[in-house]
Parts: sequence; structure tokens; C-alpha cells
Amino acid sequence: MKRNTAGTHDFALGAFTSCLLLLALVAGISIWSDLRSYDELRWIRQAYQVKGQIAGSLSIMQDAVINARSFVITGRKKDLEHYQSSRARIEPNLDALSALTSDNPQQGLRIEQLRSRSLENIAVLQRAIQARGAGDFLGAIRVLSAFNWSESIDECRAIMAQMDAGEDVLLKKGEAAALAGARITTVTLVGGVGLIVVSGCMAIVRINRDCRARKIAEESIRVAHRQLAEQADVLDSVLRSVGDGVVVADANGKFISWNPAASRIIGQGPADVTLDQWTETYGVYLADRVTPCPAEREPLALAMRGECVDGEILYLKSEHLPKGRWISVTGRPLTSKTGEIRGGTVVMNDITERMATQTALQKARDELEARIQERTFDLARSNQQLEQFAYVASHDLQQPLRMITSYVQLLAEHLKDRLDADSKEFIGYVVDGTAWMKRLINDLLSYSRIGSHGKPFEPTDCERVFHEAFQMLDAAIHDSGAKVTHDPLPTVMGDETHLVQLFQNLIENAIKYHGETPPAVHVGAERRGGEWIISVCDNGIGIDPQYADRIFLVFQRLHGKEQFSGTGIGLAICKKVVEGHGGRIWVESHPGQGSTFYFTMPYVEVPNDDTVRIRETDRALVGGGRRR
Amino acid sequence: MTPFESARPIELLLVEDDVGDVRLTQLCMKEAKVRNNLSVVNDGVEALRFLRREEEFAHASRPDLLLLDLNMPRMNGQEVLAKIKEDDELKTIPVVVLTSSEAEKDILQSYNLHANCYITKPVDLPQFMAVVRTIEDFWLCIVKLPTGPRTSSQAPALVTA
Repeated sequence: MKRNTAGTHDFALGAFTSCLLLLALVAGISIWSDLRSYDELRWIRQAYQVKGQIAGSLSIMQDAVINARSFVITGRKKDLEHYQSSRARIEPNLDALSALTSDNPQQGLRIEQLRSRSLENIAVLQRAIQARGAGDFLGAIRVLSAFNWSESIDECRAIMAQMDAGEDVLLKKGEAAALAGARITTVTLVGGVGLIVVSGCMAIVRINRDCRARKIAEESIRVAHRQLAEQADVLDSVLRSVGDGVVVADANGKFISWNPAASRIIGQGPADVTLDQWTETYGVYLADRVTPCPAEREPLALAMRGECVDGEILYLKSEHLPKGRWISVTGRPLTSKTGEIRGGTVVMNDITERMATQTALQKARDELEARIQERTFDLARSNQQLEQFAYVASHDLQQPLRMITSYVQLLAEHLKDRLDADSKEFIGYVVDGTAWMKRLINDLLSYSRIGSHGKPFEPTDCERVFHEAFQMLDAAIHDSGAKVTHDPLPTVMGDETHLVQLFQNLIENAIKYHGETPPAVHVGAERRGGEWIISVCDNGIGIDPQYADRIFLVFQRLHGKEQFSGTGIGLAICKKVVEGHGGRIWVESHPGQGSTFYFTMPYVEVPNDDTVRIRETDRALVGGGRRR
Repeated sequence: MTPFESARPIELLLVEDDVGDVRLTQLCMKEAKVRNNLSVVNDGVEALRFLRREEEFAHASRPDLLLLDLNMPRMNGQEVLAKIKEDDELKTIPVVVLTSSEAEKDILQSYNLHANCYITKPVDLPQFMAVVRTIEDFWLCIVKLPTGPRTSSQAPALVTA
């Protein structure tokens, strides 16, 4: 638009200038033409004058003749006076004519001719008049008649006609010239005016358009101004109302914006200090609360250098903020559209409360952690003591048990002749009791050993575990005619010895608790999500579901010693082993429908080469807080 | 065994604190096939004094076989074992650890200390007797025991080369 208006300006200027020039030209041409016309008009007037004079000359001549004739006839003095006045006019008239045509030699010649004729005529008339004056009437008439007046008059007429014609020619010329001049003027005027009008119109149109455009531009500028002012207002009120401090500095470090929240947070308004004095003036410290923030680390300074700061945590403490304040600062550079940095802006978030909360939280967490540690330690310790107790107890109980058994048997030996059947029976019970006690103690020992000095977990191939257990049960399998099958078994992280024990116990049970039919046992393995589910399924006598939980307790049995052997520790051991490996164990069964024991093992992607060892402490966690 | 040596009774030392156990063992040994003298000491300290023939044991004969219990007061079996096997003179004496403990840890430790074998005492009397018989069968009949330096009082008239 700017270019257009400039162009228009020039155009208008040009147009007006050319109009003026045209006007001047037109005026000039007109004036010149008019002047020429005036000249011509003068010549024309002169021609007319000549012509008039010529006509006058003739009439004067004729007057003189008539008057002379009248006098001749009448002899009146009046006529004579008339003749004399007429005659007096002849010469001056001719002189005047001569003067009028002084520039025209041709006419001058003719005038001389006229003059001579006139002289001739006058001479004749004079004679006539003299005659009459003398009284010679007849003589005067003779003189008059002797002269060929018609011829003379015709001659004069002819000369005058020539002169007239000559003047006519001049007239015609002059008129033509005048006409031409007028025409020039007209054409010039019309043309000039026309051009002026045209260019004037164009200029007007252009200017008009330009003005309109300018009006529109002005209007939009006004609107833009208004919007800008509104935006500035909005921005201002936003800055006023936000809770975070916003500070904007230009490239020289001078503050161009400092909202009320900033004043509140920092404790003071903008101070007229240089960048390197900011830390001191506003009391800015690093997160350790003691180190003053170095000038080059000031977020606003960084932002002014073009770097972005996000969530920098700083501490403010000054005489304006005696209690100190934690802030989280985010800074960004201010860049123009061309990318140059024009300053920086920072936003400060008061996080004092958050820090306090965090500190309190951390403290609480630490306390909790400490307490957990304590409790874990206590638990571990008590577990250890418990297991140690069980171990030692079992161990130390062996000895007296041996004594009882051995000496009772010795007694029986010694007194065998003196004992009756009842006594022998009684002794039998004692011995049986001790034997059973021995078994119980042994089982208790085994049970307590699970998890005591266990080895670190290693990748264990359950196929091998199965085969070992299978071999341990060789006799039992053979005797019962059992058929034991299995699915492909996975490799898990575990203690091989204990896993063998686990499999052995479960398979042994599956074989032991059979009904009429020979036992058929199947060991299955299925992967579900992050764990393996291994099952030992039998076609034995089954278990009443109401006892499904109880059987996993120590020394719990559902049958008498006479029916099925065993102390009832087998499943308790299984449960302890399974749980120690991070799994769970349960049974699904109904009386007469066989039983399926399930246990889970965590699925672990086991590397082929290296053995992965779990630290014993972790193992304790895996086992749910058992002692290490 | 040389015919000459078979004439001499085998010297056995039982290191055992429990009286009842001692009696049992004595009973069993009495019925042994091979003639033997069973000496008894009740704890580790005494055992060492016996072996070194100190003080009251000055006239003790060097045992051909040691039957060692583990659970004893003052000095337990492991310590005795260690001390015996450190002593150049004594380490050639075969040591049979005879104890009620079945603990893996005890077994391992005993063998680490170079016990010659480890036997768990059965609870049952007949079984105990069977074990003792097995011990004497093995150690006294089948196994060759080293002939260690003897005391002057025991020097045989004839020594085979």
C-alpha cells in the first residue's frame, strides 16, 4: 500500500504538473494566436476603412459633380458652397486614403490615378463654375457636356473597384488568417482542456482510491492498536493475578517486567543493580542453602544467554525474607522472530511448602525404613533363633532317646526270661514310642533344615530333579507297581536338594495313598504368565476338601499309623520348600477321585552360560521374610 | 596282621561322656570276635592326656583305634580330632567318629578334620550292636592298622622286619 500511495503521489504530482504545463501551453498558444488575430483584425479593419474611404471618395466626387451641376443650373450660392465644401473634401480624402494604404504600393498607384482623375474632373468643374459665375450659363453647360463624365466616373469607379478588389483580397487573407488563428485557439483549448480533464480525472480516481485504501489501512491500524492495547491489558492482568513470580529482563539485564507475585516471593521489588549483584541483593542461594548462587548460574542470566532452565531449585534468604523461601525456577530466553535474543524471562514457583512436605515425607520414610529394617532384623533374628532351636532341640533329643531305646531293649534282653507276655508287650510299646519319637525328631530336623543353611539359588533342571526323586523312590514304585509319567519339566531357579525332596515327597504320597488300582502318577508342567504351575496328579484315594489346608501343617495326618506310614511332615516340608522358592502350593481333590497337587515356581529367563546367584538376603525376601 | 601281632589284644580308646553310651559300647565290645582292650575317657581333655600319656595316663597304651564322640563338655570331639591330626605322633591313629548326630555339618567337618570315618549311633539297640560288630569287622579284621611307636613296656621280644 505504501508503494502505491507513493506512486500515486508522484502520479498526482506529475498529472498536476503536466496539467499546469498544458494550461500554460494552451494559454501561450491562445495568446499568440489571439495576438496574431488582433493583428489580422487590424489589417481587416484597415481594409474596411480603405474600402469605406474608397466608397466615400466616389460619393464625394459625385457630390462635387452634382453640386457643380446644380450650381451651373441654379447658379445659387448655396449650391456653390456645397460644391466648394465637397471639393474641399476631395483632397483630404485622397490623402487619407493614401495614408491608409501607405504600405501597399499598388494601392498607392491607383490612388494617384484617382487623384489625377479627380484633378481632371475638378478642373473641368472649376471651369464650368467659373463660367457660370461669370454668368455664362451656356458656356458652363457646354463645358460640362463636353466632358465625358460617365467615362470619367466609370474610370474612377473602375479604379476604385480595383482598389476595392485589392482590399478584398487583403480582407480575405486576413479573415482566413483570423479564422485559422481562431481555429488554433479552439483546437488548443479543446485539446488542452480535454487532456487536462482526462489527467485530472485519472488523478482524482487514483487519489480517491488511494485515500480509500489509506482509510481502510488506518482503520485496521486503529483496530490493531485497540487489540494490542487489549492484549496488553489482558497480559498485564494475568501477570498481576498469577501466583508465580514472573520477571522479564532485557538483553542488558534491566528489568522490564516484575509482577506482584515476584515481589511477594522475592520479598522486594526490582532493584537497580547489575547482573552480578543480583545474588547479593536478592539473597539467592543454591539448593544447599549456604552457597550463594554464582552469577553465571542465575536462571535469568542463563536465559538471557539463550539457555533454557527447567525446575532449578534455589533458596532465597535476605533481610526481606528472614525465614527463607524455596523456589523452583524456569527460565527461557526472549527471542525475536529473527532469532536474536532480546532478553530473558523467568518464572518462580514458591515451593517452600512442597520442600517442607518433602522433607517431612523423607523423614517419615526414613523412619519407616529404619523401623522396617529393625523389624526385619528382629524377624530374621527370631527366625534364626527358632530354627536354631528346632535344630538344636532335635539334635540334643537324639541322645536321650537313644538311651531310652537302647536300655529298654537291653532290659528286655536281660529280663527276657523273667518277663511275662504283658510286660513284653509294654516294653514293645515303649520301644515303639521311642522309635516314633526318633522319626518325629528326624522329620523335624529335616523340616528345620529347609531354609537354614540352604545354598544360593541356581538354575535347576526339574527334569533332573524328577529323575533323582524317581530313583530315590525306586523301591516304592516297584513294590506298588506304580506308573509314573511326566511332561517336559522346566528349569527354575532353586536349591536342587530341596527340590528333589519336594518332588520325592509329592510322588511318594501319590504312590502311597493308593486305592484298589495300582497307582498312576503324572507330573505336569504348564506355564501361565510369570510362573510355572507344576502338578502331581494321582488316581489314589483322594482328599476331603475340608482338609485341603490342614494337610500342609506339620505332623498333620488324615489316617492312622496303621493305615498309612509317615509322620505327616511330608507336605509341610513341601510347603516350606515351595514358599522358599517364591511359589505357592495347594491341592485339588475329592474323596475317591484321586488328587492333584499344584505348586508354582516363578518363571525366570535363565541364561545358558552364567549361573545367576541370588544373595541370601534377597532370598529371604523372596521367601517372605524367612531367616537367612 | 602278622601272626605275632594277632596275639596281642587291640587297644581301643573310647572318648565318650555319656555313661550309658559307654556301658553299651563296652557291652558290645565284650562280645567282639577280636580280643580288645577298651579304655575309656570322658572328655576331650582327658583323651589328649591319655594319648600323650600325661600324668595319670603315663602307663597308658597307645590305642590302635579311636572311637570318638562329638558332643562332649570342655573340649568337643572336633577339637580333639583336630589336635590329634596335628600331632605327628598321634595322627596315624585311625579315628572313628561315633556320634548321635546325623547333621551334615558335623559329618563334613569331621571329614575335613581328617576323621577316618563317621558313624551315627542308631537309636535301636540291636542296630547299635550290629554297627559295633561292623566296626570291629571292618577296622579290626579287614583293615590294616599302622603299627605306631610303642612304649618300652610293650616292646615285643621279637620284631619282624
